[in-house]
Amino acid sequence: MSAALRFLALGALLFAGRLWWDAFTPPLSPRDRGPRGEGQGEGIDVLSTAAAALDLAAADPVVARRLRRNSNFLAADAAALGLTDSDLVVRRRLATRLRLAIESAARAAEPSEVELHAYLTAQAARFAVPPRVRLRQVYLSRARRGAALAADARRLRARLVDGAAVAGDALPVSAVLPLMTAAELEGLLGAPLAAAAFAAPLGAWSEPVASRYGLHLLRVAERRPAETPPLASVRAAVREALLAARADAAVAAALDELRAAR
Amino acid sequence: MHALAVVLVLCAAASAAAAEPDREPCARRDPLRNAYFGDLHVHTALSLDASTQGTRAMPADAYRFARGESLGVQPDDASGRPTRRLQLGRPLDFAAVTDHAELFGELSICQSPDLPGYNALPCIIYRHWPRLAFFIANSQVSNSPAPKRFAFCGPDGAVCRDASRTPWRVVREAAEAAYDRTSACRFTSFVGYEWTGAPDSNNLHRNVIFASDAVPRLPLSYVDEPQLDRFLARLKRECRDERPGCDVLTIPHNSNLSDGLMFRPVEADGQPLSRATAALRHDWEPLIEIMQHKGDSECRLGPESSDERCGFEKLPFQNFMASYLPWTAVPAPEASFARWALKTGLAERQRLGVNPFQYGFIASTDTHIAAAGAVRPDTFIGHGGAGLPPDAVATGLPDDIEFSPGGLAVLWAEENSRPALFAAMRRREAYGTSGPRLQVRFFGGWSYPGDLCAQPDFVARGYAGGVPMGGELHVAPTAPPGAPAFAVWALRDAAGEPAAPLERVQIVKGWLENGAAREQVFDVAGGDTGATVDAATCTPTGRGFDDLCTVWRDPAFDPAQPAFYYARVLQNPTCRWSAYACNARGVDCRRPERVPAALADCCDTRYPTVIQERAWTSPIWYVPEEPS
Repeated sequence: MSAALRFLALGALLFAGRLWWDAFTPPLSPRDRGPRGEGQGEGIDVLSTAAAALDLAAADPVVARRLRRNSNFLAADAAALGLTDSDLVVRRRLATRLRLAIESAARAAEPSEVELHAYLTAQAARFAVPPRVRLRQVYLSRARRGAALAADARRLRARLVDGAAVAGDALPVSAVLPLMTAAELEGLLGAPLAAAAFAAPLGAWSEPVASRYGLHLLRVAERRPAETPPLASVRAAVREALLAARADAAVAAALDELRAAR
Repeated sequence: MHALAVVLVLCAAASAAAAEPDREPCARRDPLRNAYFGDLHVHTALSLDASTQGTRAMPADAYRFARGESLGVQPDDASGRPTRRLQLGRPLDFAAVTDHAELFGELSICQSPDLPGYNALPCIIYRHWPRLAFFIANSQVSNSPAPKRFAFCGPDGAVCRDASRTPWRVVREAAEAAYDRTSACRFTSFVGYEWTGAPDSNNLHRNVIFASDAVPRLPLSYVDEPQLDRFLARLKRECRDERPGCDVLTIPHNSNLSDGLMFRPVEADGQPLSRATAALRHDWEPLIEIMQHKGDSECRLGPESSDERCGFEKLPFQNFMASYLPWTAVPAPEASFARWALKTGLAERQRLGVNPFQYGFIASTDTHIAAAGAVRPDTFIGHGGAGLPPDAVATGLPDDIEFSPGGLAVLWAEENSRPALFAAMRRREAYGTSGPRLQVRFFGGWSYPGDLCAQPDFVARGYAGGVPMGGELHVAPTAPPGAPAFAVWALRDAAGEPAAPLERVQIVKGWLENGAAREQVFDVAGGDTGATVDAATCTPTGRGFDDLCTVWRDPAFDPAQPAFYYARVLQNPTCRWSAYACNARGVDCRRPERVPAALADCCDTRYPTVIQERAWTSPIWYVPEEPS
């Protein structure tokens, strides 16, 4: 038997098993149905009720089938008995369909340049480039200096403070680090060093700072605060965020409206 | 060449690579290159197999997660909200969403009541019995030697191809929105997809990564072009030849599931590989994914190799089919592994003058829950549904025991931008890790001094005196004579948890000797540390190394023998993800009667509780000819 046939046979076996299971799964009795709203998130009741009113139940074959299976009646009879209100799967599905429809409609209109600018201004913190530092480091290897590490670091720092040119130990990380965010510094040399770099005064050699490789002496050459980038640099991100916000707002508004109408 | 001159050359190269007109220049730029960590293999709800496992996260969610935001993970609660959340402790530098392109249109149709085909039988099955839909779709499309579209796609498939425009647009827009074009250059996204061919269930999958947002109108999938070399040729035509600004490469993965098919040096008709086809593979496939969620593909411990470190994250089956039909499972053959491919590539180069398998290495996750870069073992929540229905809550382990969190791709680039990272992939200046963010430099040259590791300009001298990982060394100069030298410097993960120091650096050599492929593994730095870990508590004991550096010369170098060399860096032993998960669930395998059936895998002795995380650098090739 070819591999593809065996694969298909396995699938057919699972399919038959599922049909058998379905056939012997008894329909829900009214007392099996939990109280309305139990264990369900906010909004699903309102959205599913509204979706049912829009006749989305009749258009969705999964819902129709679920209703038939649960009630052993036709879907219309099931709806008349109020199962669209009490079957959790039906209600989740209807709510999801209506939610997607609302979101899709809200995302249909392309934001204008003015709207993008306004959104960037309003959400400046979200799109800001985080604070950055530029620094020089002198490294002392724990492996090479062993017990003398701390004393060597103090001695080298004193020489640096005096203005001497001091070369540290070799490390395949640049001694001159360009503008970097805290996250970038942390990835390169660890969180304690990143924190120390952002706390260090400008232009002065720091106390020794530990990394997993040894000790580092830092001198911050430049510190830049968080910056709001120009729209041209973040246009796609702003557009996507604005469309997502519109979709969320549309769903929230629909929920409010539907709740008010109940 | 003097180090300064090389730096100037690198500066020029960096400027060329960074030529991207519509963005701010990156403030963090280094001609000697930085290591950027990312994930080039990420699936979202646009992939049928992710969708049928309950994944609802879209490409935009995957990129937000990669950048450090929180991600909701299935199963969902009654109101459709995810019951689990996940967040990276350290954001990634880059990522590519690589959804399976084969069923883009079909999936879109099956989810859209307003599209014709919504009520077709495959769509009904998809909506009612998603796991069955997974098997049917794989049988008809990805796992078939002759894939074909479902009938509802129309006689020429146009209906589904047309419907695939929407998901393809979603992929491109998400990548565009995630790409940091500010001067901070914090994150790079790549437009991509997966070509998902596995004839007779033997994996030939490739991730397709585009250099920019100039991409073909539609993704070229396995169902559109099922023959690999025709696929590569057509991809070249539709991208580079017909689309201005378009460039692309493809990255094979899971050769461990190919049952030896991935690296067969033959044409579709079984004839030996032609030079043209070999050149196609060489040009378009510079990298291979050596490790991911579904196992390690480096090498096999077997008759051909006594390399004990090959016994790492090996799957107990040879292809996809055998994973579902365990009585058909056998160990994967040697030809399923990258080391075999590298050796075969040497022979093919001798025969054809071009190496079809000149692969550099990366690793990635292959997550199917959009959790790009989620490789931390102690918080691993699985990269799929662990075989469960979409709404089921796992009572056992969060993933199949044989799988793993996967790894990361690392690229040495001047800056974090698309041109710079793509250029790094092209020149194979890349490596893979099994998760920890180890930093590894690896250079090959003829005249590195023995004290190079003590030099503060190690990196500049490394570039100046030879080639970095991924490069080629050609015939030895007459002076100085002797073997090539390889300079390797590995740093332990600077910040990752669980923390572990390094144990050793190895160099793996493969070569041709009288036409026969040989291999040998050398311990070149570090060694046995005596460190261990208590698997019951995952508490490590013993010491290791914060960094390891050495300059090593091949003691058995023969200038007439083509060879490759790559570095493998091993951490001290740490707990495997499954040990963390089993411990957290209170499993005590000494009391088997108390182990719940759902957690029986915790005590399956085929799977280790302790592993050695690692990094694999791209090889450096020695070619006993003048460069062409």
